[in-house]
Amino acid sequence: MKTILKELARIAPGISSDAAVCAARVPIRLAREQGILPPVAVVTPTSLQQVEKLVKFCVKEGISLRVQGGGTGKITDWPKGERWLILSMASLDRIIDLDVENRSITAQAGVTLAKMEKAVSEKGLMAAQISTLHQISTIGGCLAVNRPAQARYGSIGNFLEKLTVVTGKGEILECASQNEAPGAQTPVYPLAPIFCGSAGNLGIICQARLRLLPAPPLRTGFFAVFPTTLAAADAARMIALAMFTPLELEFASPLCATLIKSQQSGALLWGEYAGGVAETAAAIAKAQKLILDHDGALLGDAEHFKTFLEKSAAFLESRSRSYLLETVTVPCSRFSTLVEGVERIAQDHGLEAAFFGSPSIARLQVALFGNSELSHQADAEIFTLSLILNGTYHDDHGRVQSREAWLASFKNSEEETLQRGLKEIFDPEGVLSCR
Amino acid sequence: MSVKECSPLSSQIKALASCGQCGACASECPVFLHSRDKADSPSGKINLLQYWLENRIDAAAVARVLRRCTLCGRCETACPSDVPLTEIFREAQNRLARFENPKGISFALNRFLLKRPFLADLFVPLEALLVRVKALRVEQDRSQLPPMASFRMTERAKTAKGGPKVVLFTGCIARRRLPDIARDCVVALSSVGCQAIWAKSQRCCGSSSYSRGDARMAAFLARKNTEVLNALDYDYLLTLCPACLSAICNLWPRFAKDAEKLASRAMDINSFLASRQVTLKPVEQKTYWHEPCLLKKEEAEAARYLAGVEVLADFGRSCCGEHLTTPPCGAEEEKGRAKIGASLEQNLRDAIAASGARQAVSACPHCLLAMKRSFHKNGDQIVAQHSVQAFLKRITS
Repeated sequence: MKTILKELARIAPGISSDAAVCAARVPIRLAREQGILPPVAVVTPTSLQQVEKLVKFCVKEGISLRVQGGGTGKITDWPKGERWLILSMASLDRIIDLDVENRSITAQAGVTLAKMEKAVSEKGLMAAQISTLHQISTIGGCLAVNRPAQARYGSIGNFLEKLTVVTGKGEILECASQNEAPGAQTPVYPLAPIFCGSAGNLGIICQARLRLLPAPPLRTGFFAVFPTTLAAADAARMIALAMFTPLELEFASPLCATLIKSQQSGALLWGEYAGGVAETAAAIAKAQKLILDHDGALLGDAEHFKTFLEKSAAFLESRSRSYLLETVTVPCSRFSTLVEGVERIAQDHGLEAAFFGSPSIARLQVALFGNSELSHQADAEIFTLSLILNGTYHDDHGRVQSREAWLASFKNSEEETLQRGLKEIFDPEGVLSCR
Repeated sequence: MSVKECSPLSSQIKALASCGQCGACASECPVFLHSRDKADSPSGKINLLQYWLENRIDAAAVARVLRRCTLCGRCETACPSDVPLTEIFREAQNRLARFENPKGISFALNRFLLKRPFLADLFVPLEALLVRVKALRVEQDRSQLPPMASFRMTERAKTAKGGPKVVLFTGCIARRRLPDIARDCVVALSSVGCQAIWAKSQRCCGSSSYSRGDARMAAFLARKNTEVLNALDYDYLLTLCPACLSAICNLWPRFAKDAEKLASRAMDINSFLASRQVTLKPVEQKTYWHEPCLLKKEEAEAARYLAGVEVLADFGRSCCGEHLTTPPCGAEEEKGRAKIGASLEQNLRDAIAASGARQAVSACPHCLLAMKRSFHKNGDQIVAQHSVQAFLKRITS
């Protein structure tokens, strides 16, 4: 192993095999429950060429590689055994180009959302990317999971123009996406979407060009409390379906509000609009009317609620290890049906459900409190409900077994073969993941 | 080391388990935001402590990481699960310190001086003089000391007659490195009609000794300070350093039996002065506010009120890095640690310089020392002041 470390240090001098640096990357519960050992080293490359050489070396030596961006812990496929490395993207953190005229930014994968937002806002633009951990979430990490952008704009993939990846074979690929600026001559197939959302299974995202938006002239929000969960969910559904889509729309069930020590008792709804002055003012007036029509009460201090919701997201995520928590997405029009169904399923199993989410993308994160076995049964029912409602079930929190069950039951064999084929093309040795 | 052997930390094991590794703390940690190394993030450190408690990792490796924590407490404010992170890290630093490399001669010298404050009073100007005449070589960052103030704190600084009696607990930095702050605090207290007393025999609060694993020294200092302060007749015990206040309220009662009584009368000087009815002149100069890590919300509000700072210029993400730049208890310098400290210090200076402010205000002598040092190093014409000094200007000029 010493020779390997020496060779790795020659390729990328930013390497640490310090026991603490390596162990800190692997959550203790994985060491306890699955016997996952810390990596032999954490390598921090500073250039694309170093990443390329590292992957080639790992392929040659049969060493597994896992990429970490901001360290928000979304690695789901931890290698067994000792021979594995963590590739930290922390030093690939340069903004290469900020093209104000064409409204695009080219940045390395380790650039944080906060750094990008700061750079673009200084030029009167906005990146529209959001994360509760925007100080540490990286562009590469967000692209790897195709993370939702600000609710109005879908996901980060919608902003992607170009991508530079190093495949599991150690080849540098520069690929375009369908979003590339009109008129640009794309000489290759738009391969970028294959890597965006592949969770690092096919290649290591090293650099990306993202589309930017002009900063809106007006941003304004509302904050409301409702007597029942259903009233809030229905108001949220109608606001989300209105002509002018909110920039953000966030919802929290009464139990979620209580857990986060909100001073309000009831279901909470927070929204933000951005755009032209007149249209934004009209949109917020309409939203306020819908809130009042649903017996909601408008409260002040929308900014405070934003912080509160960020905290609620982190809180419920932090509970995901002890309680069942997953993300369900259904078409927007069925959001209130989903909320009603989740409440009923929890009640039938004698469980308590706390949930929050973004109704404008009909995304709901559910935490079930109570008996673990019953929680698993309820989880399966929520999963089935989401499929009945033409929705899907995300694997945001590392519950790989849910994803596997979903793949086996609802993906046909052709699709599975195609996906395995892609894996075979880009990472035939399985350096980037076990499967 | 087993869980049983590290029993003082075992009271926090339950709290350790309540960390869900959500990472919310990491986005607030100045050290992690600088190094981007997961081990430096609070959740990473919690993870490592659990490895250590389960005998899965060498204690010395964890100790090295823990020492890079500034104990600023920002992680705690961000934690959605209310994990008492600062307390855990302070305890862990204390327990793990003995696994670090043997302490050098500077550690022994520091211990010697901590026990003899009068000699320490002489030692600091002597050190500065020797550095200036290049007779003594110290770490580069420490050689960039700001010019020493001509004033030296003496017992004669006490005022007399009328008003509430207050004892000023200056702390080491204001006593020796920046004594003008202590002097101005005495003047400010006198100007609001208080009798300010300063006991020369008061010693270091002991917080840095404790975090360096020297609990015996921390206990000694707590007992001696309690003895000295309890012998005085006063209404309030005022501190001008948040770290000292934290030690008086949280650390001393653990080591000295009469310290509870003392802690009940202790308060931050900013809160005390803000509660006095004084008319203040508006501030015309653009002022940069740097919020010290251990200062509580209401204390920070009081400090900003005294200094006349309307807008919170520093959003609280920057850290002065002083805790890392100047090794507590004079332990052997760890290069990486000092480098992080120096970098944080420079980041803060850059933010202040970029704001265009001509004066920077803080409520902690440690932060002020770091600011003065970086301004001096960069040749800036920015004045670094304690909030009480800014307050004094608003009532006297």
